Amino acid sequence: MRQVAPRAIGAALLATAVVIGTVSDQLPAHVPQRIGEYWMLVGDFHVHAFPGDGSLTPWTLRSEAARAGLDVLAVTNHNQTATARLARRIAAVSSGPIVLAGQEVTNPPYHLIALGIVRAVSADQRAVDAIEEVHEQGGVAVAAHPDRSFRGFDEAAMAQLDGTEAAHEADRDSERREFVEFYERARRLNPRVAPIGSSDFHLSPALAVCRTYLFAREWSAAGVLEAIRSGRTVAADDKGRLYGDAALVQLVESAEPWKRVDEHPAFRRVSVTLAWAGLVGMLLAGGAATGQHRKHLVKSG
Amino acid sequence: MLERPAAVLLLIGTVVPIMAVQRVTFGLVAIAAASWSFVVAVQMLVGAALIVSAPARSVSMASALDLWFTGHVPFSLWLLLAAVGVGGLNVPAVAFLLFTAIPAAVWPAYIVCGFCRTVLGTTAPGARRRAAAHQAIVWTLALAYVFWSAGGFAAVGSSVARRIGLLS
Repeated sequence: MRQVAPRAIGAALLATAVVIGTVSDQLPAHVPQRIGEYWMLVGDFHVHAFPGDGSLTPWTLRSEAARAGLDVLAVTNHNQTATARLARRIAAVSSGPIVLAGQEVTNPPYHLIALGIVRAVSADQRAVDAIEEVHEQGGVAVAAHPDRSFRGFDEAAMAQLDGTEAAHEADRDSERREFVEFYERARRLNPRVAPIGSSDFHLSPALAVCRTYLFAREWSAAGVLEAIRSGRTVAADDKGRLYGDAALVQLVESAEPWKRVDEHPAFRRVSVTLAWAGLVGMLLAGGAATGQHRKHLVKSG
Repeated sequence: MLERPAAVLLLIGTVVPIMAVQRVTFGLVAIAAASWSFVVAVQMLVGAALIVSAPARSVSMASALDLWFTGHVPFSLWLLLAAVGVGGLNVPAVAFLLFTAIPAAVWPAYIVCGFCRTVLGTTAPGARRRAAAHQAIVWTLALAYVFWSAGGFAAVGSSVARRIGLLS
């Protein structure tokens, strides 16, 4: 009895948590804003998914992207495109944000986000050659979290970049400054280089904590890639600061873009707390049962 | 029967959405449990291999397999701690998971040793050999997944070097 009660209580708490979480879960409808001749889309172009080093599957990521106010999401696992292609296939047969197949081309001296590609880009080459391979596939190339430790981006590579992560999830302000400094240097070499804001989501912090505002002629994958190639983007960091062309930054500020919605924060917190408590209860009950079982085995020889 | 592996699956399925999106819904738990079920499957296969090769075990195969998952308790505790640290307190995920993983990685070896002696009826050296084999198999598979998913050995090496300040 002593073993069963905590386990039953734990299971009941967990079940209650799931019911509360499910019932209070609402996915808000979102339509991007039209500003003049452009759609103002919101994107996160650096997201990792499962299978890979991301924690969430492509179909879960897509609904979370919608919840985070994203219109476009790129799945960019390290040196493979299988998961991203799966995500794109799922997106093709269901509604939700646009999904771009991508890759984080991962080479120790540089990390490069390849967007809109059809097959994996070799990481075993110089950055400038990897960028060229991305362009040959019709994709766009974005420097990933280009802090000072990534020395693979020489001037030739920087001049060929379509975009650079001017805003990226970071623990320190010094890192954030390095991303912006890299963007400014790239911009001097290529005035149309697009500022990109990305979360680099694996497990935490939240998806779209840094994001990119795009001014696209079409609300489509092709429209998104064209906007990046043309540099019509504004990057937003995790503090809400915006980077990019002054006129576009002003447009974003005046548009008051749609942000993450947390419709029932109290229910969400209660649900998570109950789930955690339920799991602890079940684990403790399991431990107690094991102790008794072991005593029984030892006694019976 | 097999309550413990089912509980581990449920725990993984619940903790992943708590850490990643700070929400728990039926869909999130079901999808996370299904997608990460390979972790439980691998542990079951390794456990089954150790159990069938023990001639003096004192319980049925199913009971032994269920008890085998007591070795998962440290990892379960680690996941619950991670759910609070990463999901609730927003502690940086990589640093938190790495530092807290050390006891979670060492402790199961002792539990597996105890399991082999008590449930499988092996000698102390036999239990140590089985625990070592288990650790070797699990860590090889886990590291293979990490290296594959993070872009290869060089990518992981440079990432670790950056985090500890060797590359700046």
